[in-house]
Amino acid sequence: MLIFLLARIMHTMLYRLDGFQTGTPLMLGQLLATAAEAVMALPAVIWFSKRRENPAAALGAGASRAVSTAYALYFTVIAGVTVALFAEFLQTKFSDTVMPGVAAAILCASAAYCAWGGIEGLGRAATVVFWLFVGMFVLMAAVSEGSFEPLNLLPFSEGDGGRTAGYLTESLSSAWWIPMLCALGHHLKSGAAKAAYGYLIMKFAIVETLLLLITLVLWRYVGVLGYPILALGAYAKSDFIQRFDAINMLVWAINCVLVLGVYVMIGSGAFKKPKPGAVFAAAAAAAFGWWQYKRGVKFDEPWYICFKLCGIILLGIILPLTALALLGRKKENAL
Amino acid sequence: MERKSLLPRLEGNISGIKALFGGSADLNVMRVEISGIRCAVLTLEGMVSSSALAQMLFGPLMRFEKRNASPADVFAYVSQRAIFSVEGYATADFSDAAERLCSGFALILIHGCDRGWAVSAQGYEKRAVSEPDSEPNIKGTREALSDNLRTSLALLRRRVKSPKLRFEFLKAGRLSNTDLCLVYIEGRTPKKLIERTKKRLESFGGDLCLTSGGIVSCLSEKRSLFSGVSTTERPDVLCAKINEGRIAVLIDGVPFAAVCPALFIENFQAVDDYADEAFFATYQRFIRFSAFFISTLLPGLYVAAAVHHPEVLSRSVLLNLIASEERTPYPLVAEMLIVIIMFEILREAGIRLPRAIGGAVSIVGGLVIGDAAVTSGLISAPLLIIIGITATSAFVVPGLNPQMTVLRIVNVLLGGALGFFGVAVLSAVALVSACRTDCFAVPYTAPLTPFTFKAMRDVITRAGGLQKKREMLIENMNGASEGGGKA
Repeated sequence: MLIFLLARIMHTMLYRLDGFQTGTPLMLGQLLATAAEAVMALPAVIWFSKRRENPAAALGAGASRAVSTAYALYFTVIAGVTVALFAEFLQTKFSDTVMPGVAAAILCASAAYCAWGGIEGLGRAATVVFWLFVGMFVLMAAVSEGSFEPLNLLPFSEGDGGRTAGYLTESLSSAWWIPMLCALGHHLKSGAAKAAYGYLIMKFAIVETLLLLITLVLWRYVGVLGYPILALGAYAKSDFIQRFDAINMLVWAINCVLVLGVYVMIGSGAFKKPKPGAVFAAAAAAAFGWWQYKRGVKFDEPWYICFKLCGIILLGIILPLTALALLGRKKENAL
Repeated sequence: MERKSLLPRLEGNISGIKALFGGSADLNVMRVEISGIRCAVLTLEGMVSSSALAQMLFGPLMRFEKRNASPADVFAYVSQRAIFSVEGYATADFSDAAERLCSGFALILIHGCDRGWAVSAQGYEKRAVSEPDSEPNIKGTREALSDNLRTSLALLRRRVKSPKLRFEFLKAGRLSNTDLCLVYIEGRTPKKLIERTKKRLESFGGDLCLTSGGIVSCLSEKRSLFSGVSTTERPDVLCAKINEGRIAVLIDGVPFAAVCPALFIENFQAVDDYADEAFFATYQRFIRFSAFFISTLLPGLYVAAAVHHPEVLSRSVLLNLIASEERTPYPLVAEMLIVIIMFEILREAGIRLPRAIGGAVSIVGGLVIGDAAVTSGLISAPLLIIIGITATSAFVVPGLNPQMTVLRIVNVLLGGALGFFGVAVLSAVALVSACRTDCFAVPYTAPLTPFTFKAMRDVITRAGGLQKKREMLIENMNGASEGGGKA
């Protein structure tokens, strides 16, 4: 569950929001997206309540192989774009620190190492990173010099309907935790339903809280800062630390390695041997990420939103539905 | 070794055993005649006690008198009627006889009898029970495990006076044939854990087993930066650990026991925690946790902040830093690496040299070189302060010293090259490495992650009744993953 959560927060925090305006429409969009995701996750949740195996296994050996390859491609692309967005973030805000190509290579190499250990290590590490994130957030809130401005929470104005719809679409396209649930559901000890709905409740609470805080404190200033990661620490200042940008980056870089490790691990599922598979998937993600970075990828590009949505529908909804139908037919034949 | 049976001829047996040892000079053969029957007592030089042999073996042997005694009579007397020692075994083949001799037994061979009788008469020189140098404490015992396996067993038995304390002997090392002893408490340690430990030890593939390191790597499941097997030289710690359901392996000739499964948080616990008041022990735990992070991260973060992210430092710190670094000739990363390596050299010298000289080396290194380096402008004073804090912190958590040392140097390199990004990547990799480590299905990072609330009472705080909680944790974890392997 925490892996899904970290992946989602990672994704949100890497948006580059130049000229962006936060506010109530986004919070409404988030509410609608969460409700829609709860419905979209139903087939996978029902499948895992009946069987503790990947839904692809119900399709037979040949189809299962094809589905594993589809998963690998899907998550390699997502890993590649994550790498590209992170490299762009580093280049934009920390240009003197590290070259984007080196950052991409290092991220993918570390992700391959993390993927080698399997999902258990990543899951346990996710707990620590999650609490690190909470600690960082509390620390920044404690030393923040910002003040809340309730007027920023003004109700809807003209054109906000379109903004809500746009945010809803974008938010739904970021729901690749549903295919992740299908790929990793058989590892979950607590059960898929608990993980899925626990994730949705926590995601809703965390993202809405972040949106509320950013809206109350920063509002249009987010568009000037460019990244929500930096927006979080914009007003934080103490006698020991002047600016929190680099400290935010440190925590997000740890999160990035972890989340990429999960993507690479799923990407390695298409290979018979997981370790060489992880290396190959990480190398492919690095190459794709570098290409996307060079061509200037954006988080809200239409092709990327379409690709993500197609993956969610095919691998996260249609696949478990098909598996459920086949299971039902088998039971009927047995009777 | 070929399993060849002993012969009824004494000379044939003696020459057979001599041949097995290749004429080794330490094989002693003492020929005696008992009631007209030719016999021989074989020993290995230095492995048996001469006085014990004289008192419990030669005395009774010489007193045996029987008219027309046959070899069978002599053997019956030796094996059944005379009590030479608490341990005695009949041996029927050359290789078994050789193994007994190597273990410090005296071997009695009788002409006309195709069996020998091995009597325990171990009496080799051994070190007295000393203080636990690597795990010192204030209020706990001053006794450490011994090089001698039997002495170590006695130290444990004295602390756990219960028949439930079990010792099982195994052998390891194709050439060394080292005695190992599994130590556990019946009913506390899951049976599956005992079986799997035995199986793993039986697969020990080396020729020699001379340190605990070989056993630790044999018991470890995966290669990782961290190990799910710990070592201790304290009998009280060992007893506490086996009481929590763990299993320990004692090695003959090594004063350290390997204990598994081990947890990350145990590195922050000390014997004195349980002798002090709980509030003070909790405070000490906090200090140890802080020391671990300071020792691992501080030099890397300092270099990364100073070189790549000066904006995180406050104005006054930054100005001080600039002023002191302006006077030094080397880049900050090189300066930091030089001082860290110097510190490691001094530390190594302090360990390897005799204690009296080791102290002098610390004075020379710490005061003379350090002061001279700052005065001459080779090293900046803030950097020396950072290293001083780091080095002192490293001594607080000795169990994680290898990991902290490696991570510290790599952190400095990555922090210098890539800033906080490098430190973050290394932290993530180290974190995942620790989280993926487990030993016999018990996660190394438990009970922090996976989180077990009840066991947390003895992680951040030191609560009473801690053993029961930890024991539950280990038993549950073994049981959960191995289909209920509880004893």
